Amino acid sequence: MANLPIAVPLRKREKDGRLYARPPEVEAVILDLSHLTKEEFIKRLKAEDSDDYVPSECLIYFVRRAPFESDSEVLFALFTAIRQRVLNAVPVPLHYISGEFKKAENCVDLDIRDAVLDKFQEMLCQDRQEYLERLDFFECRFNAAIARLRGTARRDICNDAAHLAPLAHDNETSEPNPKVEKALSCFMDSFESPKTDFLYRSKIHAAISSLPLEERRVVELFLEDIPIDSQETDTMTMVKILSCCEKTVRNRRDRAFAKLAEILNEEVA
Amino acid sequence: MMTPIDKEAVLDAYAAESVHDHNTLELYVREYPELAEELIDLASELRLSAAFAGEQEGIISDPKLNTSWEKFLATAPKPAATTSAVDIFAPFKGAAFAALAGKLEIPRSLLTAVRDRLVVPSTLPGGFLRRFSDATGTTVDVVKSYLAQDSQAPHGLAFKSDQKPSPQGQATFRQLVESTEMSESQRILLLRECGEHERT
Repeated sequence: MANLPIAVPLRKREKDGRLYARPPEVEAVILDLSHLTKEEFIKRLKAEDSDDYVPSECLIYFVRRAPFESDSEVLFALFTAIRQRVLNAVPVPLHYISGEFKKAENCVDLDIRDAVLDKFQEMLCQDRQEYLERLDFFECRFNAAIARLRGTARRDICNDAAHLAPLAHDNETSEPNPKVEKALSCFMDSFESPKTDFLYRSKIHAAISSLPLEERRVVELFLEDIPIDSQETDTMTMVKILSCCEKTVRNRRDRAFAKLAEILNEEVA
Repeated sequence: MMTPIDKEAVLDAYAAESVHDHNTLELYVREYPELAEELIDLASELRLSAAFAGEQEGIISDPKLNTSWEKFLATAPKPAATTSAVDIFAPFKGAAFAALAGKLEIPRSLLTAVRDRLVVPSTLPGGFLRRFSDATGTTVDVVKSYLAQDSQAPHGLAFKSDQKPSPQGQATFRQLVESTEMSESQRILLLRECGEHERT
């Protein structure tokens, strides 16, 4: 591939003015791929074993720079491969359908996956017309960049869905609920223990992602060890961050953990 | 009030952080309280990404593949991306340019010569290149790529001449240091770097 002897530097700058830089291992694979023939290059894109696997950051690099003088066979192979990586980076877990003993995909998760893929396609097309610095981040940390798109898509879709959902009342009792306290304790034990099975941990994450945004935020802050409230004025608390009263935070937390306990019990059963 | 562009930049910066822990989240939420919900949502998505990293579902159905491909092809491509596109001096105009010269401890006229590629790239000492790339937030390779391009007409000449300005000849870094007005301590430092470079 004579036209790309070195990895082209990125243009986006970090907050402190430094140029974004790809990880050295990504640069190394880019240089490695740059020396392949067309046939070898296409074959390498399909490699699944860990030694030859092409990181998504490298796929983006080549999609943006159309190697082999924009050969359409190569470009289509790259385009197909990068779309698969996007789809894989937006998991759509299976959930039990309430009242039935079978699992199905959640339509909200499917909508999020579609929205992320559409946004990614839009960015690729924009970049093809005029260099889009935002895509530089995808060449550095693909999964984090997709997480950004997923966050925006989830907010848009969940906010729309919230208009159709029944209202959750926050004026319930603020007394500690023993069942919820127990579920919360079990959840934290299994989440933090290094002995927890990878699959079970994935199920926990999938269960958290299925919660309504308000409840999901409380769980996230809980996992970040941020207290609900504090007497110390300088301490960052959920009450301050979410701008709501302590009772509301506790109610959201209780609802979230009751749901998580229910989902995970179904999984175990 | 924060513009949509600022908001995107803050969220991009948070996503680009190397560590996403309690401290990073707290730092951003304190600095941008109006983006607290977005930042928490993003923290949650990043946690999800980390949990599912490496887990492949195999081939996932992509019904829009062909129409997306056609749209992609129909988009007129930009000119081929090359290193020439990176203008390392773009963020250093006016006062920022003077500050950069101060940071490098060289006179502005010498920095202007580097900017206008009036110096033979191979004569730039490694020590100076490293100081320069650190100060501009780039890498030595990016600086070398910038300098390797054809020298450009000095900035501003287009407004002072009746004829089209043409690039001037290049000088070695040592020649520029010796002929530019600067303090003795500056000259000693730069000539020492030149000497180390010439010995290697």
